[in-house]
Amino acid sequence: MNDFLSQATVVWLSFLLQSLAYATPVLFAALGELLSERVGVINIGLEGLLLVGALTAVLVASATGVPLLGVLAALVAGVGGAALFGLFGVVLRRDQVIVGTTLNFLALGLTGMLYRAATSGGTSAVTAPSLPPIFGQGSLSVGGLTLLALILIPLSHWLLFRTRLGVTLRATGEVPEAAAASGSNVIGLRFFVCLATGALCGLGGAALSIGILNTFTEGMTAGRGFIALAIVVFGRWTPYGALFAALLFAAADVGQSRLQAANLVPLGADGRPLLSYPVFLAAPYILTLLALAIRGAKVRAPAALGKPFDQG
Amino acid sequence: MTPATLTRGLRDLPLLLLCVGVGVLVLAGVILLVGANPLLVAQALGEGAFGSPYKLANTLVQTVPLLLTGLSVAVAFRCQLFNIGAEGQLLVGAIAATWVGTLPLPPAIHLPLLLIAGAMAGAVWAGIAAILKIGRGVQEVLSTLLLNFVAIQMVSWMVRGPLQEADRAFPQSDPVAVPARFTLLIPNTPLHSGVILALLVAVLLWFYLRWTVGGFALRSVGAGAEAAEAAGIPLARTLVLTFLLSGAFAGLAGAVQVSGVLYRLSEGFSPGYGYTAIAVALIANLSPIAVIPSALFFGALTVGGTAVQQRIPGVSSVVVQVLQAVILLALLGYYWAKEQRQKQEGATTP
Repeated sequence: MNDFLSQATVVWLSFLLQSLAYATPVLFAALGELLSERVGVINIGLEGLLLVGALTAVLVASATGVPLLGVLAALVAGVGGAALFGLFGVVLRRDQVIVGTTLNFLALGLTGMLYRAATSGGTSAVTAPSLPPIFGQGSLSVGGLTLLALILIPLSHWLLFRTRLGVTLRATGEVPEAAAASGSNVIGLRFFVCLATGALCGLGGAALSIGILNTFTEGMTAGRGFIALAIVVFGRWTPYGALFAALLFAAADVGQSRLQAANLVPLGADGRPLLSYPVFLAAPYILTLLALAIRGAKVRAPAALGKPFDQG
Repeated sequence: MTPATLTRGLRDLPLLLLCVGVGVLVLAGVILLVGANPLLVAQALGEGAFGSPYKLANTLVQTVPLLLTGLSVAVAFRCQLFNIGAEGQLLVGAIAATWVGTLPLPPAIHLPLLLIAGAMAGAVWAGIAAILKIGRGVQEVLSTLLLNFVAIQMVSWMVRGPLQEADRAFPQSDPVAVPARFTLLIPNTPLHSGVILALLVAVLLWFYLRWTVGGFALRSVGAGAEAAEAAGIPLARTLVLTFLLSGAFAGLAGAVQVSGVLYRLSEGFSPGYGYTAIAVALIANLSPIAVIPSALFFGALTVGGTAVQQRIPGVSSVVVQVLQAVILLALLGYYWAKEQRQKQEGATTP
């Protein structure tokens, strides 16, 4: 295949495809959060849901030897975790930020405990067969979950903005009282969307653990759930916006690691790198903060975001 | 506390115990699931935290940063500001404290300067979130969280760059000067006099919230921003002040860790104090005085969790995080049940 492409094209194409692969877990989580926030539920437990999905995918894929089963199990586990969030955050009307934080604690602790139990105290790593790419190979390939995420973007755009259900969903996040008055079951809708968020995060977790890598490490999500939250805001609560933002962040991430690997980081007078490793690692977070600062005034969250609704 | 509120509190006690009981049972189930005995885990936890004077001192030392960051979260949440950034504010507080602590300064004022530097750095870090919220409408949940990640990398950079030790052998700072360290309260234990400072801060915050105009404004904004503004309370000023106060407490926590425990800056010194602080503050129902026993409880869990990991095979110290989550969920359930009961009473009494 490389015979047909010039060297520069290969470099750029592999850069783009690698960025896509890195963006996939965050994209799933961001899409889930986008739907959730559109119905008025802020779920900051994405990080925890991603972890649950990542661990489940590895454990099931390694036990069965079938990566696809790992992905399905991760989806189910994500729904389970989200059901807990929905129970407290939507049905029992507790503060969603607090419930989300609790979910993160729970997921970090539980996945850590279970993984250590599965590896007999961290002495042996569990490796799982990773998902084979749908097409291409090596650094020029596209994974199945990446493809799925790319299909879900226009699909959710269509759902939100072109269907009657979409109108109802968005009304639920803007004026839940009006949605309820016109006959919608606000609590039921919110709970259902919550489960969908969990399913998407489960897939995102699987994309991370057996899509990009083939193992699990404690806290391996490393803040991706929080980056996804920022991506939703940066993308102005639209699926295409989220795709753009997720790609931008992933490209920055991949770009910095490539620059470092290629030793293209400028050195200072004392022979030490001018920009050290931590500065690179902090870059995506600083970028997100800057993005929020610049776009802050122009974006408007769904009006009922984070406000519990009492159907009475 | 009036007799009426006391009896109401006593009446709610069985409900609270029921919720926590259910939570503990769930946790016991999880421990059984990973193949360990929950009773042995509980015993190792208690013994590890309180089993000897030395262990008790250890527990108290762990309590101090949790108390200060717990106060940081409590004061912010009281004003309906979801500052999830105590962790980052603690880290930058530690950076600033280390910087001041390693400067050649007069011994008599070295410790106070170190503490002030830590608190100010924490306040500045929280101030970024304040500016973003008030100036640009950015939710503080997002900004404070992101700032945590930036702060983690900032520590990494500091201990490899500007603050790295003189002989540049390890990614850590030089030790802070001896006069800038807290003295030990009890010799041969790790217990340092920073614990007194932390208790003092808790009492001061209680006084501030309860008895001052600023504290009243803070609580009013927390009870309802629009109503408070309509009543003439300066909204933006109150929000900024609360952010700064909250950040200062967390920054102080970092400074106290440097000056009382670590004596130098290194990576990963905080096992997530700033996140545990959220649980600490919530369980204390955001009351500064109640944060004291709450922090002690979590301090004991932290120390006990390490003992569990050492003694019980297959159970890691993260069991403590699960316990935190379970207790929080139990409390959320309790508040819901209490609300339901009040609603029913409201419906039956005319």
